[in-house]
Amino acid sequence: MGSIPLDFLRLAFWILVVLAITAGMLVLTHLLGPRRPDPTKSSPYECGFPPFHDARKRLSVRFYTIAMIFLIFDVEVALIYPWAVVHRDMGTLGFVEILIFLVILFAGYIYVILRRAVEVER
Amino acid sequence: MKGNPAIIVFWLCAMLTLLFAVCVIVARDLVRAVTALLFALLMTAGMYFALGADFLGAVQIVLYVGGVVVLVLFGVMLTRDVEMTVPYLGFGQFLPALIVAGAVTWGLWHLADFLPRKAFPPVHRSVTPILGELFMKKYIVAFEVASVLLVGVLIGAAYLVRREVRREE
Amino acid sequence: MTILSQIRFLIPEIIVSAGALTALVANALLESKERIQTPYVVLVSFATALLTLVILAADAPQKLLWGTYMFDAYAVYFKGFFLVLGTVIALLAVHTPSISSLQSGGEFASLLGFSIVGAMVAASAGDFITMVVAVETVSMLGYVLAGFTRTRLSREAAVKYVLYGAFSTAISLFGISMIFWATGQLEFKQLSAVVQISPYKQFVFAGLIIFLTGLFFKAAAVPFHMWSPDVYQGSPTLVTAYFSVGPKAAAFAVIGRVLLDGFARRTMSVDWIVPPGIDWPIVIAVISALTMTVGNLSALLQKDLKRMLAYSSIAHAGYMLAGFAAKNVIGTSGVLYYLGAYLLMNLGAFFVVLAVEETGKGTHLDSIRGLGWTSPLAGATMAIFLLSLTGIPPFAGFVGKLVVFGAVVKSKLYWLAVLGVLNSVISLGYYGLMLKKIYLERSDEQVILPRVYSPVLVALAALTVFLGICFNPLIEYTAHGAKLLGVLF
Repeated sequence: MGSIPLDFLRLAFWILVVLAITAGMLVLTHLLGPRRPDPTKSSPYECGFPPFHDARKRLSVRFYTIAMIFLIFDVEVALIYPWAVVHRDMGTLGFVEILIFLVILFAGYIYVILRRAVEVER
Repeated sequence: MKGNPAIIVFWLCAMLTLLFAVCVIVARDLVRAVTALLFALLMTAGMYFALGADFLGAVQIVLYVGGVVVLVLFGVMLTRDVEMTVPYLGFGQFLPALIVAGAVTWGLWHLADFLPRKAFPPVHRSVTPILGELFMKKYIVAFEVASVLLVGVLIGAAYLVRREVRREE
Repeated sequence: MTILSQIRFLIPEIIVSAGALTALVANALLESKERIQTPYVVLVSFATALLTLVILAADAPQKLLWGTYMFDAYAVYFKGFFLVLGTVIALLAVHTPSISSLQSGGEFASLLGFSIVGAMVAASAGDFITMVVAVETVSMLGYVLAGFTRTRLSREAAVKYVLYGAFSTAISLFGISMIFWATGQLEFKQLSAVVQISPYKQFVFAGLIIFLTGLFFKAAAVPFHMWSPDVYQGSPTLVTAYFSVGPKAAAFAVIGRVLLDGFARRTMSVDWIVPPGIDWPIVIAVISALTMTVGNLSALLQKDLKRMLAYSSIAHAGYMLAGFAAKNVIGTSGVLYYLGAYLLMNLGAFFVVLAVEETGKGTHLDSIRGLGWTSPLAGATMAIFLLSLTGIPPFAGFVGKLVVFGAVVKSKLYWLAVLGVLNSVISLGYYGLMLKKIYLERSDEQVILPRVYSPVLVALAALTVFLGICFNPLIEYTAHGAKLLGVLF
């Protein structure tokens, strides 16, 4: 199996260290820190307004369109990535192919910009 | 394939995926359900990595954990009743779902008996360069058509959600 | 061959994509009044692509790009089919008030163009990956088109279509993964050799059936048809006309290629690989029988024209599936011919309904009352389409049914053939009802067809009659296309 278990061991060791440090910090502060609670300190927002209603409220997110469009370009990037890894071997042909891919999407991008789909409404 | 730690990682991730998937179903609060979904998707990526599909794992994290979950959260913000009684935990819905799930599991289990037990793939090198070459050569048509597909979806997203002002007049 | 010399055979797709992209950008750049003209760009690209396709067809068959892309008579037939479909729909999009008044004709045309590109690639796809991407393109663009008018019904149709469509794609992919697991092949041509010697036949054919199930969803075959009446009713009627032909034909194109390329023996008489003990074609026969029967019986109960035609198109999917159930080349060529006839008569019927709807009468069954008297042209052409859909000679629908059920009889599936004939009789019930409304009832309201409708309807009707009388050339071509599928390379 060669070096593979070693890689995993390193990863596992790293995860353990991270877990140990975070857990250690939490436990240590819990044990060592002084605790003198009073009503103000116990409120959820010590230095601000007391909450006047639940945070789970219907909220109009005006930029969900942008999120959707972002996701589409995210997919695009994911598809281009494998080419980027081997672009030296693929040469001009690969470059032209990726260019076509991008030009097609660029047309969509122009459409989205010109049709003002990404402008946040008032 | 004893001693391949990928097996341990795989089963750990698989179990955690299941666990978080159950959390998604039983959570009374939509935000919590989405958070559980996030971890379920993340653990799925872990399974992909353990199986040697590094590109798929990366895509899973970038697209699903990074993108889709955010979009779902936005959807939740637009939803009226975030905290809800879970309607699908009633016996009438739970039982059929259980039967269907059981039948599918049983079927898969028995189908798997027909097949050779393939060895766990050794994680030697990244599959991304191989994929890159396949995208550029063998599957170039699929690759370019994917671009056409994405443009179509882009227009759809921009067109369908745009608030119509003109027509109301 | 280098990639560059192979690209030649992709020129039709490239032209349509370029046209659709141009229309898209032009639509965004132009003022709203000038936008009306942008669909013509796509229209011209369809026509040019059709021309280049005819020129390229002389060099068929070709196996391109490492077997992922097939340019054979079968693909040419389907590409031509989709281009004609796209041309007609794009032409009507400009002249249908309910679509052109949105001032988004460019979007409509480019979405249509992208969808047609997907369908054309699907017809040529030689392996599962290209096929899935292409079919997904058709579906995805379909979801957008379904919601195009952005009314409440239209949105509802889009959401339903998305949910069912995504589900069916997942099922298809699962089936493909099973086939790939057991055979290690994604190319259809390679598959047929592996399947015959594979020790995991049960697994392969289970995968095939699951894969086909996903496509049956897309083709709206019973029992996977639940979405289609709702989607067909809610979508804008022009889009419904497209749905009833385009995505359905794409699904059939893929089914035919997968079955005849991947699961047929490559001898002079192409026969499907049916291992002893795994009589999987019977599944298709049963689904075909269910589809035509349920489709026709449900259509009898409808009061809305669009729903009625939706169920009618389900029934026709059943007839076409019977061609595949016949397990032979004649059956498949029958499917191709039937699709051609179906394109003409079904589009025609939907266009008449659309024309009536545009006059503000809605799509209730009573809206065509007296159409034969108020608009003789619409009435007469509708009568031709309906008679052809019923399968009465001398119209194209009759020849299609004859070829399909002839093949069914040849493969000794007599019960299916009998059922097909019985179903044609049942279908006369609702087609006859429409005919009765058109000619035996009277209405005083005048129906004025929108521009371009009259020539389009006349052309479709004329071709329906032409293909019903002079059917030999097309049948020979489809038989040629189907035969080459299994034996070449």
